[in-house]
Amino acid sequence: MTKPLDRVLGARLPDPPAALRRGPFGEDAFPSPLHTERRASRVGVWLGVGFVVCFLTGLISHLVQNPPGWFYWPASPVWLYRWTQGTHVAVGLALIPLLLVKLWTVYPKLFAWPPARTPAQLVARLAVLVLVGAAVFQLLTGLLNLAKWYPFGFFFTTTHYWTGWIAVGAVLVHVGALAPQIRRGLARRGSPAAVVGLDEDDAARVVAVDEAAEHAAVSRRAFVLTAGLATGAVALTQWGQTVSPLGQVSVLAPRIPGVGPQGLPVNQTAQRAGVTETAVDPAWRLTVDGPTPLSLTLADLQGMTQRTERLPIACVEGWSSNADWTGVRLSEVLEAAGLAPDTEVTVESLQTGGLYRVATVSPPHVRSPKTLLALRLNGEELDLDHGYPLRLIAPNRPGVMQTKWITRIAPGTGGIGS
Amino acid sequence: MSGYTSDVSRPVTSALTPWWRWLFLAPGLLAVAYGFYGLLTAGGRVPIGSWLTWFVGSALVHDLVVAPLWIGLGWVATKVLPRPARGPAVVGAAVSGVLVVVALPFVLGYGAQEGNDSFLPRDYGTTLLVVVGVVLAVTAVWCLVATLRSGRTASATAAPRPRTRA
Repeated sequence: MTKPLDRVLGARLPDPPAALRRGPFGEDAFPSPLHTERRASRVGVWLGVGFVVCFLTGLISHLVQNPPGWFYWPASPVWLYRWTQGTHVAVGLALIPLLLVKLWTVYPKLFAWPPARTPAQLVARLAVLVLVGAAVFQLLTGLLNLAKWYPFGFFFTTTHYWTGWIAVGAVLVHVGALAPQIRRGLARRGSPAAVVGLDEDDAARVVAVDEAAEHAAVSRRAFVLTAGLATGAVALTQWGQTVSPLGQVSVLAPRIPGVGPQGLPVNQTAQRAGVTETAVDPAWRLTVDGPTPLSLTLADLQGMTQRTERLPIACVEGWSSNADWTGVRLSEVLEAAGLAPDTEVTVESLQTGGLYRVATVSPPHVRSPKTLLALRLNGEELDLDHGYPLRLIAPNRPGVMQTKWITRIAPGTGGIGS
Repeated sequence: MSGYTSDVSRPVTSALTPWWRWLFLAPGLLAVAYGFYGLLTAGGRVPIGSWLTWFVGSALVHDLVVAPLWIGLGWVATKVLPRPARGPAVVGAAVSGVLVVVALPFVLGYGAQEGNDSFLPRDYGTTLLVVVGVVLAVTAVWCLVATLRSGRTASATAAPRPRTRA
């Protein structure tokens, strides 16, 4: 079965005319002894692990926001989502320097001569285009999303999600396809495993190049230091939006924990949500559908038992910040409306549009005593930008699902809305 | 560049390839296929033309702009910098470069929102200039020290010979 396939994929393709072999295609166009399997595989391990971490944490965030029937997301620990999404963004940022280092290392491969010896190599090179395209695409669109800058014609979250599957798949295929090179590259320098499978000439060349890398003007040590310090510099200047002790060190991060109205950053302002008038209208009511329908004024809600919980706002964009929230328990409001205290409900905002106008609160979060309909933040009445008069705050949940300017609550997942 | 281990005449069944490659290849191919399927069925949210432009464009921007720029800088460095300064220069240039790349969307601030002071709360242009300035200043000192030290060790190893003759 595989023999005929081998014959097709392994057929020798004609070389292009040698006269075309110029410039970067030349024999010694890239003289640095750091363009090796050894350097590529060692940076690659970090990069590969990073991409898998980003994929898994991204997948979690996607499932939490679009839960299929089999998916269960708990209400505790309260910090779990903050941790997974913070990791997603922090690791993604750190991958930018590592990917650049890796691409530099393998750049001469782009000019390999002949460009493809066999159809198999042609396929392999196209696979590398998919890998490089997906990897750069994911890091670039992710970074632009942190800056809320959308110069592309596609919708960010959907595209980033699906391209994430391509990226992680391409990384796995790459590891499988280059298994022999990786095995050699990760073996100790000078050991037989470092040249296994190579003919004598190639083995001697690998040994000589790796030896030269130790003493070159830009040596192996400079290479490792570059990768390490560049990654560290990005981490130090960016991670503070997630890791609050670094908050004042990360002078290039887009957010500072604790900076914003009432000491908390804001993603969507009341102005942009178009609720500046409806949210302060004295006619505002919270409507709760149920066997005993409720229509509550702000004073009604303030008259109910008030609870205070310390919970983080954890944004999908990676920043997070703790705050003290005061308000009524969601489960107690539902009970007052005659609903079971673990009924899945949909909350609806005053916002007239936008993807996050409504959100579903699943049973674990409805049941949690920490889930509040908050009226106050850090001891003050909610700022308009934080969702005045009423917002949802639940443990272990993405910020976009902590609906602000709530006006209606109904049982079920599709009971209300557009 | 060293050759590939895989027997080029038998790419599928080459005996030199470890069996565990299939643990990566099979799920990897499935994931790639699933990703393409998802994009193609996403409808209006993902216009494939603009996705493809950014996907291939991402790779091309690196291959045709970023990499040649870096290699050009390296070529200049080999002409103007003494050998011992080249390592430190590469480290300093890479750190500065990557800081600029990552901070650039915040410096440009096209996504800034009027009325939301908690988003992009700093003056990113000035901050970036200061940070990169400090990195480059440290790099310059490091280059100088590395060059002077290597000059001293070179003359120290060269020194004993005339002395023994004298």
